[in-house]
Amino acid sequence: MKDSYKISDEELIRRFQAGDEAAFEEIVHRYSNRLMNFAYRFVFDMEEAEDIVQDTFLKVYQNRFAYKEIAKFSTWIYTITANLSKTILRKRRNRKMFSFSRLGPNDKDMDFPSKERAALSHIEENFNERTIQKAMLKLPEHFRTTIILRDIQELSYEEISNIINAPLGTVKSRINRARLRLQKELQELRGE
Amino acid sequence: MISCYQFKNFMSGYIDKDLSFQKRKYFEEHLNVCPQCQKLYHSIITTKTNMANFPEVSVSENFLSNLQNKILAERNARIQVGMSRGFALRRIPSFAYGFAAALLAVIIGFYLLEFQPNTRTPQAPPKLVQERIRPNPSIPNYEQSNPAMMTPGQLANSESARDSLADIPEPSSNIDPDFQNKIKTVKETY
Repeated sequence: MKDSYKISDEELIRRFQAGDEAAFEEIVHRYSNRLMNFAYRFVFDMEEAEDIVQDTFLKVYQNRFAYKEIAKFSTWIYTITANLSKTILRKRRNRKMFSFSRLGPNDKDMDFPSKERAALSHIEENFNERTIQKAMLKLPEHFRTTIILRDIQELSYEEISNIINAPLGTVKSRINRARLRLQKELQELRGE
Repeated sequence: MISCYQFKNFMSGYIDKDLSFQKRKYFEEHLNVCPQCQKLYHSIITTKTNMANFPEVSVSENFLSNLQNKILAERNARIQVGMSRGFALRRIPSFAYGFAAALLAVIIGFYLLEFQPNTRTPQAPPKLVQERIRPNPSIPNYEQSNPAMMTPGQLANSESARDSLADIPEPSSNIDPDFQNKIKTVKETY
């Protein structure tokens, strides 16, 4: 997640605050896929994830002057996405309705359609991904957020600490507990 | 040797290279002898690797245009809300009206009091008051004795009279003759 851009994110948002709309487009270009990955792993639904990312940018656009350069821009934008993702999950929980596109623990979409080796390998990967994703969905929100930020987004402890607004020690212990809990959930899913 | 519980507590620190040398040593010692913890450690490493290699998901092709539409729609909605609120007077907070009314009342009151024609005529006080304020004969007349009430001429006369030689009493006979002579000398001199 290292940035190799000539213009820093902070400079871009400064330009956008000064009225440069092109700077906003550049921000969208830089962050749309990163945030999409984060949101998707959080809610495990492409449409909802894209809505979350769009709403994130909409909030950035509307509240551009709320950003002060005391924190990294990436921290700020991830915080917005994390909060929106949590809101979506809360709404989903309240609705208690599940679409077919989302996986439940008893879903039967893991059948292997082909026995060819290459296809099998791909399916195995897919199986792993889905199983882990299902196990992640079982984690409490605060564990899920930290494990996505650390193991998928590969952010540093400090960045995670800023995003979730928790002390560094809390972040470290939370990541450890989240990893252990994920293993427990995976074992249950695999029937071990 | 650390326990399995301590081993689990050290797990992420070890994986993320955030453990001290001593703790790493303890961790590795336990890892080499405990098959259960070994299994747990390897499964965490595998899951972590799998998660890091999750296929990247991307936004749809029309993401940017959708976003632009969303921003425009939001802006238009705000403008419409502003328009539906009507003339700017409606947006003035209610306390401003109260303040303006109070200010107006103060101004009107001030002008009414300031430019009111003086209809009052000097009247004699009521009889009861007149009786109460009858001059008191016991009050001494300070006009003659009080220097503050004197005219400049009166003041000068009184001063000169007070300073005249006649006002200085003659020395009594029981005073020392030398002192009497000194007083005489002073009298003659001045």
